[in-house]
Amino acid sequence: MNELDWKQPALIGGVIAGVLSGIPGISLANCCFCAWLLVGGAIAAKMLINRTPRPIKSGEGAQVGAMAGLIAAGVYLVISIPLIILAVGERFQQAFYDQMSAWSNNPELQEMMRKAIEQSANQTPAQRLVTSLPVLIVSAVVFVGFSTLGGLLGVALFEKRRDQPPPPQYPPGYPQNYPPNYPPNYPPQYPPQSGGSGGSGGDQGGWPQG
Amino acid sequence: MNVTRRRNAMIVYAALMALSILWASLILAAPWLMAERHFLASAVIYKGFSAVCHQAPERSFYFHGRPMGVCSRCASIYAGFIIGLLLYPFLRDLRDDRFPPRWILIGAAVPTVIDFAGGVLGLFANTFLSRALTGVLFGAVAAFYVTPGLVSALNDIIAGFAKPKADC
Repeated sequence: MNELDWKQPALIGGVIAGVLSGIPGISLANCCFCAWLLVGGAIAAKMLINRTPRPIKSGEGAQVGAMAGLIAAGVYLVISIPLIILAVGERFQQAFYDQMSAWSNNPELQEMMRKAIEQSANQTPAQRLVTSLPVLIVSAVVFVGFSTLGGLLGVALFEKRRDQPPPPQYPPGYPQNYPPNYPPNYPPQYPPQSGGSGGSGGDQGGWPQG
Repeated sequence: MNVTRRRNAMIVYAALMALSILWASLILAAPWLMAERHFLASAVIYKGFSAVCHQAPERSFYFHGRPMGVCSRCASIYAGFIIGLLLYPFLRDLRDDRFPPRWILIGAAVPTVIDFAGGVLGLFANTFLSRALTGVLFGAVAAFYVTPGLVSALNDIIAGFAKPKADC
């Protein structure tokens, strides 16, 4: 992994996933199995595949996906914190409380939810931030997990070089631009096609006889 | 080397299994805690899962009279993933860190995509059964890609730590 150029793929995949996950409305696609995180991880894996001459291993896809997830979590926090302070997205919060009340049919819970809605409406920006922090942290952890999954699946889907043999490894300084079929008659045909009789060795050949 | 790879594979497998069971337990815990009147804990879990699922009650399985933490399709994918993990050691070598052929993954995703797209586009109404069957299939197959990927990642990470530095 160290010799791979993973920084740019992870950065681009992470920023795409983080921005799309942070914008209210567009982020709703994450309700479909954290779709933006899977997409971000897969983009990072695809970019890593495109810029690497050798086949990318599944583990490298997981690693670049995890890095993209970390970046996505950071971008998500940077976008979400001002939105929380400005109380953008309160409508979604209220919808959640309403849904919880409806599931329960319990007057005690409904009263609790009503109080929660009132409290969240009257909270100062700092209070809103503090109460949202645990959910943000849990979301960031989930982001890394799903983005790792996206990186893994990205390699599974986009890496097409797995069945090809790896390129030959030459020692440093070894010339690699020989013309085709150089040197001539290499590798040698065995047993020799002409000249020198095979001697007494049968199929195993033998010393040339004078 | 072989012992290390086997140990790495066992660590990844055990960790994945533990995490998957914990995740599934939380999905069941949300409605159970609500039924037991532990409202705050239940609300935290429901809110946590709202980041990864729409949680529409009409599309969710119910447990203790309340919808589970995630919808029926997501719950089926997670259940399928656990089934896939249980089957994994019988069908593949745990140390093998290569992916199976990609057409298996694509083939397993196609029914889920058709079922989802058909519902969204209004071509047909998907059912609890169709969502559950397609989700379990995709989740089970996904386990055969996630496990070797994480085994490979752990092998790489440990090999990276073990590699002597060139300038030493």
